[in-house]
Amino acid sequence: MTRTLLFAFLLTTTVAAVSVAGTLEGKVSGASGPSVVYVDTVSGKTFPPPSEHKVIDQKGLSFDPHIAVVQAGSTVDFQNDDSVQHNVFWPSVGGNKKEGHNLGTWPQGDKRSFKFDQPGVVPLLCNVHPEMSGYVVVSPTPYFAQTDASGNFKIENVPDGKYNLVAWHEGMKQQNKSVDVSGTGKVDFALAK
Amino acid sequence: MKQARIVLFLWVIVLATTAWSLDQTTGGNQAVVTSVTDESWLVHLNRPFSETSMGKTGHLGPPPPRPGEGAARWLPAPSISVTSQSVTLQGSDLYRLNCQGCHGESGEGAPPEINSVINPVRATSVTLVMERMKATGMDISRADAMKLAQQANVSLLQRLHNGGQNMPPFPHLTAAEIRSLVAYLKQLAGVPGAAAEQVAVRESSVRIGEHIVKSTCHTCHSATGAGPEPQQIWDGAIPPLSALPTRKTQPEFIRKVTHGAPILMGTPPMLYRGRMPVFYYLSEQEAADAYLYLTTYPPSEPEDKSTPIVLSKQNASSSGAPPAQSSASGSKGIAGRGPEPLQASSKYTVRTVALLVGVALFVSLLLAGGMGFTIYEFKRLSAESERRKIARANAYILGFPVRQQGLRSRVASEGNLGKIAR
Repeated sequence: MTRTLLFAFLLTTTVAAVSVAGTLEGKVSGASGPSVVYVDTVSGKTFPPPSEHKVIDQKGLSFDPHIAVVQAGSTVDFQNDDSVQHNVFWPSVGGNKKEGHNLGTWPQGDKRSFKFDQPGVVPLLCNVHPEMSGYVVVSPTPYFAQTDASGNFKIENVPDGKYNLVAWHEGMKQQNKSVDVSGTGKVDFALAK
Repeated sequence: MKQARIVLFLWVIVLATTAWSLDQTTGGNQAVVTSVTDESWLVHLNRPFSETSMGKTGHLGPPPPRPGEGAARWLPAPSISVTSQSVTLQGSDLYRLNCQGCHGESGEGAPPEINSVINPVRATSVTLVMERMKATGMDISRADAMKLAQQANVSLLQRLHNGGQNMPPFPHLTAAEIRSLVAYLKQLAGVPGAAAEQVAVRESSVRIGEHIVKSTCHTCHSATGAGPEPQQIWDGAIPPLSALPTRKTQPEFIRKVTHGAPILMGTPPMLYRGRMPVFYYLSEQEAADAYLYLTTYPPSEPEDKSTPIVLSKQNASSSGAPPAQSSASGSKGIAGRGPEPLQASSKYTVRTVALLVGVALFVSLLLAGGMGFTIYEFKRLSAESERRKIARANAYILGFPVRQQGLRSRVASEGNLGKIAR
């Protein structure tokens, strides 16, 4: 009985997803600088990863962009544009130390790529230059956005349905909120340390 | 007795191996002094002297004397030796002669043009990598930290050998010098325990001069070329190193380098405060060594380099660099500066590994011998005590009669003795 109901529910949401695409917007307050907002894992749904690579430059002893948001399964190219060698490693993915990885150390002009399958926040570090830091935020869905200077975000083409929305900001506590999208959806976050 | 002889024999072998390895380390790294060639590093970078921090020590020489004032008399210290002799250099000295001109006394350089050496060196320490990660709340395992530190070490050595876009390569440094220098870099960067791991090297005066000229002077002064006129100097020309002996006497040179001196510029030529930085951290003797080097190994064009003048005993195989360099350089000076493979370093590593393996082998042999002997002794003693215990137990089990018997027999024998005595 419950299974049939669940199936019916899934079917309707899927049909709804195909037929209607809405916009999810809101504001993240409590933090200055860009925050990342993404739709968390939707049970029973997978999304084909994009084939194009995201590029993160190492330039002037910093990661450029400082924060990159990608869909799970995406490949990121780490390109060294500095005249010194850089190392790229991350101690964890989404706080899980088992997903930590050392991509190596390479000179100017070279790049190394990594496919991020595991969703979560990846803190990027360079062992040689402790002043360098960056982030790859791996979103389990293609529905993600970065806020503008005043904290506003807008995620387009979100199918109607009920979602769990995640807001992340460097140095802040991550926040989850559920949201209903039917044509539009609106969520505001107030982050704290 | 026999064991003692074996131990002595092993000990002699260990000593012999160590001595041989040490000889290999010093002998194999004997530096071949070669003359300085090619354009200056600033010319190579196409960067004007006014737009760089390279070679700038922050000290300038005295202004010219005012009209009517006599020129200040200056004489170098009388103790200065003009012949080549052997001197012990610490890693800190090698840093001073080769690195300080750009990276400064503290190693912090002048970012963004000259990077600090501190963080790349700290990155080679497992302890510091772990401390850093712990401080950020993202601690990593020792194994991961070791991998990171090892990568940082490789990239540090590559940097020293090959240089970079802004930094010149230092192919003239031998493996022993690199080892000594890196040990000091670690101390400078505050790597725990580095102070206790300093290694010294023995160097000739000419070699010291070579360090100063190739690493410090050559930043701004090209090896060869026409000596500029006072007007050209006014316009910013920097005299080539080859013009030096005709421009300066040894005392003048020492003064210019260590204290600074006014220079003739413009038309008509007048004395002005020199633009050349004062290398206050070089001793007068070291400046004299640079002069000795420049006069005994005159700066040359890259083509003339096929017959490097060789000083003292050296191992021909130790430095295949100069011939390789001359063949590679050809027309373009930059090519001569091309990347030098980590040849010397790998050789040093192989030797160290061989030495370590040898020592480890003998130490483990000694330990095994000692252990064997201990076990043998242990067994023997315990067997003996076991035997004694059994004997005692037997005595206990048999108990009184035995003792009685013993007593009786003793009494009997005493009685007999008594009888005999009587």
